[in-house]
Amino acid sequence: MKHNKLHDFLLAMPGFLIYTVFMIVPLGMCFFYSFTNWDGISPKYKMIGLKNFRRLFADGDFYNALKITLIITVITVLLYNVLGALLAVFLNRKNRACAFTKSAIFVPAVLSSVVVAFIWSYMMQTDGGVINAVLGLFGMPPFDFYATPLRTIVMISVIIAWNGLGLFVVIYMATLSTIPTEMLEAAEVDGANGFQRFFRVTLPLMMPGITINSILSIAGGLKQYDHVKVITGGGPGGATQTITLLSVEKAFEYNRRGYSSAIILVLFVMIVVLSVIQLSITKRREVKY
Amino acid sequence: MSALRRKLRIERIRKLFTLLIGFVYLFPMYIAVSNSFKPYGEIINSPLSLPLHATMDN
Repeated sequence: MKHNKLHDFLLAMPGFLIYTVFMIVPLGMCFFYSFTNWDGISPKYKMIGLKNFRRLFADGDFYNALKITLIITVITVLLYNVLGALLAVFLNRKNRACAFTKSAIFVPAVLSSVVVAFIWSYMMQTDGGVINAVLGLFGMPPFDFYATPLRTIVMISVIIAWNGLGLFVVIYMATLSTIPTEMLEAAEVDGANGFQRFFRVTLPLMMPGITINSILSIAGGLKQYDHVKVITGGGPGGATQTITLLSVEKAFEYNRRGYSSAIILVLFVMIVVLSVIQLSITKRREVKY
Repeated sequence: MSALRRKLRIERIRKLFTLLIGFVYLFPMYIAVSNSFKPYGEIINSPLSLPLHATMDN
């Protein structure tokens, strides 16, 4: 078959066009608008240089949103990876109980995040909420999940982790199945106990799964929007607002598209920097055998 | 013989624990499904029980 430059170019064209129209052009527009004072509607706007960014870094709302986003990210990353890896190792055997629990853990992953957030938001109510009814069965006093922003944010992080855990367990189980059983048997013959086998053999060999899962969970935590939007809507007064919620509010309620573009640009840079740092750390720890 | 029996018992406890994890994980789904068939008063009074007066009005 004839092989030339034009042929290659034409074959790559559809994918490249779609990627350009839906990724590169919007990113460029976001970059451009973050230096203007566009309000999202009017045809006139002017360049204001770095004023958006200067205002952003003096904005208390932005720092609060950053704090909330980082809390959500830290808690969900820990829950996804620690619980996910432990469950994958625990459920990695063939019997009916394990099969049932595997599918039970995957069920929430196929639900819409709005559905999940709605179910949990009425389970969390102080009066007539299901969680407090269960606590009451064990004789504990009712717990007000909406009392402080921190409590609500921690609870929302748990809900997000409940929703997405299935996917992470599946990825970890796929990684586990690539570990040759001879290694574990050899460790057992050499007299390693369960903990040693997990930390010295299984965990280092699971490193590729940990790499992909931590990238997915860090990016997902920083981009978190839908659960928070449904459960608290960012309220009261922006106390539980994440960065994405803040930027959507600035763009469509305050009509400050330029400012919201600046917020999104800062988030974009943050995700890229964190992913690169994280990738370089975990890649170094992957072992070859 | 007793070592084998002990191993079998550990295996059974492990299976029960696994099932428990699965049921606890699915608990919110049970709540959503059972409450969708209850009249409003019953949701408030007995949120945990199965629907006694099941209704399709919802």
